[in-house]
Amino acid sequence: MPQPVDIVGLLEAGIRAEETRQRTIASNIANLETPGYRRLDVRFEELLAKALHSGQAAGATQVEPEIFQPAGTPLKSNGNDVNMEMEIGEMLKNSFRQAAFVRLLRKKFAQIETAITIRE
Amino acid sequence: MVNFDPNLRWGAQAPAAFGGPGALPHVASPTAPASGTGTAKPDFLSAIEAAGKYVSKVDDLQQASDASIQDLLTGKNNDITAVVSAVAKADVSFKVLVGVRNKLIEAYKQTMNMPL
Amino acid sequence: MTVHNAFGPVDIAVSGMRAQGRHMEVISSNIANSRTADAGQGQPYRRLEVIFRTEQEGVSPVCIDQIVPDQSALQRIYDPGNPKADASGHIILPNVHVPVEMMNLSTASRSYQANAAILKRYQKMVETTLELLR
Repeated sequence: MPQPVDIVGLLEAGIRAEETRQRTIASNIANLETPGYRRLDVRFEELLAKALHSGQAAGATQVEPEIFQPAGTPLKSNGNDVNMEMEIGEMLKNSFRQAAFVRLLRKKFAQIETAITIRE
Repeated sequence: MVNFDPNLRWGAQAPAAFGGPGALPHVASPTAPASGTGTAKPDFLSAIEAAGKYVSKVDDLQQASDASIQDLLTGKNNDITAVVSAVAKADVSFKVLVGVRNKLIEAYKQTMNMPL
Repeated sequence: MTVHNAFGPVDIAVSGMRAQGRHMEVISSNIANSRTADAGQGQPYRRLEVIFRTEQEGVSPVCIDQIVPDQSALQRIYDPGNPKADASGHIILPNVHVPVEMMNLSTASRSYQANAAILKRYQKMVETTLELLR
């Protein structure tokens, strides 16, 4: 399926999404004991998949991450639903993905440089 | 002369040696056609043809690595190891191809610089 | 080899940590209430136990199925001086044995540490994998 997909643009969008996710995780951890606070999450991957499959691949690099509040999470007695272990797990996954995207982006740029360099 | 497909997706403009503007001119066979055996090919030509076949393999690897990166971005496949290995494979083969291209250009330059 | 797990190692280890964290809450409740003669409706506190289960078949995270009261017999202690003693001078105390709870606590905390170690090792593994891209 040869789609003219702009991998560099998609990677940049992915890095932006991971940065947004990092902010929400920091907010969740800071509000670990705040009564009534509900944890925040970021929705990006599904939006990107939808944009890519909708046939307009060019718009896919403009997909913005959305912050939302997941419903149905188990509440503690003070109305707070933040769980420390879960936020730490999310933090780990977030940092893996961001490191992977940044490295992949760097790899892409290095490939371009290799292609245009003719050793004299 | 081998036809390098100009529609191959490179990261930047296709270098001149690969079917872009100013493609390599036709290289005449070093052995006279009448005297050489019909089946044995001159080594320079066969090297270029082998490089041409390699180009399409490199393109397949590049497409596979791009597809795996896309899967990682859309969350379809969260296996970072598979993505890294696909990208590393494509990258190594690409570097080999660029090395071959550089050598071909060098050889061509040397050939053209030979005093007649 | 296309193994597509919906749950990665991080999710599974985190679920283990959460489950053991709840387990430790239950244990601490048992220990704190080991002498509670009246836990509401005139009944003494009954020891609570945690039952774990997997979330799906095969490779899967863990979750807590239920927290059920332990049905073993409550302790009857002879203590005639106690204001709550019945006609024969006995009072009913919870069926909590602190040494058993301490042993469970040590098991739960070792399990928690093991899950945290998995997270740390996995982090190192991913970093090593990403080094390939340097």
